[in-house]
Amino acid sequence: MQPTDEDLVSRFQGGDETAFEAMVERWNEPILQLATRLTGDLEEAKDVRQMALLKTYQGLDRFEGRARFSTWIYRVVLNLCRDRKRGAAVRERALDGAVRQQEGDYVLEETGFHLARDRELARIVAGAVLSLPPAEREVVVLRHYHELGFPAIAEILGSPVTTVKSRMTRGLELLRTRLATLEA
Amino acid sequence: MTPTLPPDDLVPDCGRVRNELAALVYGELAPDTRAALERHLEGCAACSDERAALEDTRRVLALWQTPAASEDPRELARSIAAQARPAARPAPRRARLLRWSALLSGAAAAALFVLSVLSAQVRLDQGRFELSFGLPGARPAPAALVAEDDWRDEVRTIASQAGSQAALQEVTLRTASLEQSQAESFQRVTQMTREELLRLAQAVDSALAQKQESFDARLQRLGEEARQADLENQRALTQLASYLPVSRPR
Repeated sequence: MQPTDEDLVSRFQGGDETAFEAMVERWNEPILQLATRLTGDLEEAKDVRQMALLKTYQGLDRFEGRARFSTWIYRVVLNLCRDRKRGAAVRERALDGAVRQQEGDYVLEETGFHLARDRELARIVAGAVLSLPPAEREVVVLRHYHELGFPAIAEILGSPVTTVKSRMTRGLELLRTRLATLEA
Repeated sequence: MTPTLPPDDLVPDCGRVRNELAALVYGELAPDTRAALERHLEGCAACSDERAALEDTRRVLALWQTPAASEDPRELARSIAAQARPAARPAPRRARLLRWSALLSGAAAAALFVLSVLSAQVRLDQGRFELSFGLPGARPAPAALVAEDDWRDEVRTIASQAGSQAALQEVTLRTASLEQSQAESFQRVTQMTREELLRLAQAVDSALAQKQESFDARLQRLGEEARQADLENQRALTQLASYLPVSRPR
């Protein structure tokens, strides 16, 4: 049976460095995916992953298990992505309109997608998700792409389940409008 | 499951149904709540259309796939650990000691290899072990031992714990060789009792801790210098920005 995240934390706290390798093996992909979908930039997402794993390594000794590890690591990634967003907004204000447009294309280009055939569709979907207000985007990404239930998302965000559900509904409605042409 | 509608509410109104549609589309409703919603949807074209639209949106969202992580997770974990360790985590002392004793009692050759990597000299003087570290030797050494893969990784960890980048590089360069003096030490270690091995482990542990402390101090100093440089850069950027036209509020 696979050890739980909490088992691995406990082994790491006892000095077992291989437990951290097992944690990275398990969380590498989800962290990168989440950060890519929240920042819209693969390189930014890699930076976020690096910082999230570093915080994990440095914080695990003090991890007391009051929340589940998964809740904790998702919170870390969300906070790092929110900080990045603020930084990007500050940078954006310094640029004139023409550069901002080019930067927008560049961001989507950098996000990258698997299927060349569906590349254009994927770009449109990515653009629609990235254009959601941050609160709605976080819920949509966690629910749809990470398959987390509303109660788990509520715990991560520290919000009531009803709030999470209404953000999801609002997020889907906005996406529906923006993606209407693709659904036909 | 998030039951929010009472089971006896057979025909919820449109407003309440809309609030639950996302949960319905993502399969998060308790069976009785779901049944109540379905009953409403059967008789309400507007809500039914809304549900179909959200399900279409859900399908379209699946088109966005992000690139898979390309890095080897074990390598990533080691680089994170190496990055974090000088500033944050000397492994728990007991754990380090246990690891050393395991290495020594399990494979004395491994321990000697570690000492070789760190260019450590072991002297046995009146029943006490003394360790000293020198710069990694430049002299080519005669081939004596070949490291096994499983503990080579352990050696990397310990070497990085000792805070020496040079030592880390030496792991690769010197896996197959020991210096003559260390070969003699090896002979001595193989003849040690368990008690002697544990004392050697303690000596090694203590020496590594000292090395770690001096490395930490150096790192802190470098960090302070980097912060100063950063401040100066920021001052220069602020000055530069003052020459630029003020951007219009958006």
